[in-house]
Amino acid sequence: MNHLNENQLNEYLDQMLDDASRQQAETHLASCKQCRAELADLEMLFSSLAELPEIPLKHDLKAGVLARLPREMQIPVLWRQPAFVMQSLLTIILLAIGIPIFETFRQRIPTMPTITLPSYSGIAAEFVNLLAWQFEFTFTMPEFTFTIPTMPTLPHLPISLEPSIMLVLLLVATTLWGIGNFSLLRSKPEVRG
Amino acid sequence: MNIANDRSLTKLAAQGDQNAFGELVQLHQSAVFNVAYRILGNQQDAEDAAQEAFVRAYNAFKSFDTHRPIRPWLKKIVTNLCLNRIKAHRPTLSLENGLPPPKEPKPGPEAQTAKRERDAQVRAAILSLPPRYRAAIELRHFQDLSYEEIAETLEKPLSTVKSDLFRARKMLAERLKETAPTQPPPNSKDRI
Ligand SMILES: [Zn+2]
Repeated sequence: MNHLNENQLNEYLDQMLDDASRQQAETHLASCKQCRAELADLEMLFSSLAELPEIPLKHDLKAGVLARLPREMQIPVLWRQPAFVMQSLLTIILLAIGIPIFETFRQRIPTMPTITLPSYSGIAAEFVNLLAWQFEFTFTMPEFTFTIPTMPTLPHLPISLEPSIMLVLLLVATTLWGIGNFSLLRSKPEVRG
Repeated sequence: MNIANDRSLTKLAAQGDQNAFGELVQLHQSAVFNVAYRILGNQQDAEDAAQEAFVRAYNAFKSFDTHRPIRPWLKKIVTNLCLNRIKAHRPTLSLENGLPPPKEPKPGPEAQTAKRERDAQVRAAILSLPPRYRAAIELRHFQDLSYEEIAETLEKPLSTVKSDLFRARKMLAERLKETAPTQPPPNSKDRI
């Protein structure tokens, strides 16, 4: 009868043999002293490994691990941050004030400053002149005009914003800005070590 | 260990809750450290590796299915990390290897002393194995993985894993026979 080979012995102990192979192995082991001895050696090794105790950890690793974690993961969800909320409100208020003012100016100013650049043919002609310069000393700059419209008087705003209301809005905006920045500074993740 | 607690901590930590992750570190640090200690054979190196493994785990949470228990995953990370370390630097066995772990040997009954000596011999024998054999022993005997799971962890074919494991056992059994029963542990300097 064939002895059990190394694979069979190992797989038998690991309980990886199918039923038929296991029964065959057991039958052989029952009658073969040599294979039983080899199996016993392996079993002794298995129990030596199983009995190896864990050794105690001398230091708590928690602090060291936490100190090495990436910082940005500590910042909570954006919309839950007071700074984000405050500064969003601030932006909305400033836009509410700013857009009407800008629109009014845009509509009331009839002509924007205009700059008239010379035509390409004009530039070409002057370039030809420039080539002839060494023969004739005639050179003229192309026409270049810059028109500034007369400034209109300060327009009326389309919405009635009393100076007192403006002042209140600005105070609110400033307060929001302050609170927002303050909370942003406070929510900075602490340094752990 | 409370499994439900472990799971909820894992979920929180995966969302970036570092306090929850800190608790997970405390729950599993001993197990993770012991894997590293068995592979590296040195307390300081093992602590470093365990710490590094936790940091890596935190950064790799996206690839982890939080419905699964976290400890086997942590052990897998530290195992691979340690294997890479011993492959990178030729395994130079420190003096600590052949000796019983420090602080432990209190004067005790003779049987206890003999057991400690035997444990130290087993540890030294494991550390004397080439990295791939050490990995097979660690994963099969200390992490209870199946052949298939070992193959997956080490990214090796099943047949390679089996032959590594069986050869590792043979080598270990022979080395333990050499040092049995009360001989002093093998002098690690011999191998350098
Ligand atoms: Zn036989």
